[in-house]
Amino acid sequence: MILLVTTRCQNPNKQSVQYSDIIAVTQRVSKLYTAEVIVSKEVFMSSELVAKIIGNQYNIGEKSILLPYKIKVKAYIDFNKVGKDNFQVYTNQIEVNLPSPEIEITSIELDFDNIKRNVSWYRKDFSSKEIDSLSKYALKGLQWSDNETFSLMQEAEINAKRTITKILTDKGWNEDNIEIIFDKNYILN
Amino acid sequence: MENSEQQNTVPAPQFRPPGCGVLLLLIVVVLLTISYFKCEAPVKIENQEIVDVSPTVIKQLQIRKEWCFREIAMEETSEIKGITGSLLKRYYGVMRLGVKLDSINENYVQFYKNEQVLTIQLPKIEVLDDNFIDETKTETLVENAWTKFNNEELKRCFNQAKRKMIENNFTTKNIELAEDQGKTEIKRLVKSSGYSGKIEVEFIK
Repeated sequence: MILLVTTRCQNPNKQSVQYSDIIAVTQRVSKLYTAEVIVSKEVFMSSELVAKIIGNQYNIGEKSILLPYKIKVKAYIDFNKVGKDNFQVYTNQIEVNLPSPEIEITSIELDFDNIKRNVSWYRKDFSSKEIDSLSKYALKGLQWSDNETFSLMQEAEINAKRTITKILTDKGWNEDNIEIIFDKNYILN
Repeated sequence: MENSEQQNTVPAPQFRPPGCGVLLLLIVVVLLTISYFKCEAPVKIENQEIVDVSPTVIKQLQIRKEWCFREIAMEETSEIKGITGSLLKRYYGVMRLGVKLDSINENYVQFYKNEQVLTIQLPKIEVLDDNFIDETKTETLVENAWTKFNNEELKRCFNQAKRKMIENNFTTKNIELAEDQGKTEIKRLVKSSGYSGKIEVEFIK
């Protein structure tokens, strides 16, 4: 029987499907990433196979899986929104008006080393397809408090200020004469 | 004559207890009768599934000093072989090319001024972050029903896709395109800050 199954599965005449490997869309951007948070999220799934025999329930097999995800969220200043109008240059002073930091998710990756599975011997193990469909839940309820958002935006502003100030001082400006302000100032608010 | 003798030698029928088959048949009949009166299937198998998502836990807040000049949205297929079949998956991700501004001590941007030209030196173009895959978009294209892949094998498939993405997209052409954008951006920043002379931007190789 096993032989029959394996020979059936390994059909030598079957041609493998070729998929195009290089599919990429490139885009010009100008983003100054200044802060990052790593968010940890876990998706747990349990499946119990229950036999109902005339009103009575019998557990005939269970399986469960815990999938831990590492989500990276970064804050950045979009320099595509910065033009000449954002710079006010006076004789001894420069004022830079920057847009507020924006936030984006840059990666959602599974921590394969810490996946936990528990499968009864008579149940089928989790397939790759099942794990893919569970991954869709990783973003569910991804939210944090106002305080945490505030910390991230504040950190993003402080670092953007430092980075731009550093470039301008290297260019020859005196640090005391540089003023950087944001559209919506999280530091002052 | 012989036949009549044989018929005479056949033993008289005796009582034999019912076999397993008969017992099973009886049980089935009883179950069906009860279910008929209760109007429901005698044996029903249900799969009770629960999906639970943990609350958001922020692990760490880090400072970044990365200037991204090029984003490359990619998709890549990756195949691994098992004992009785193979697994083919498609991954999606966005790779970001740019400069790490804290990479060369603190002097990440160097300015050299001679009489005519202001030369600005920037660090080399890099892949800004090795984590760029979005697992919520991953698809399994081919999977043999008889072969199951463990965590190690899934990790191998994932890492293979990531390696291919870097090989195919962190190319000389894309590095040059990122450098061009970087030059435009830094010139724009310096000119906006009041400099009107000639500017040259170069990247450390």
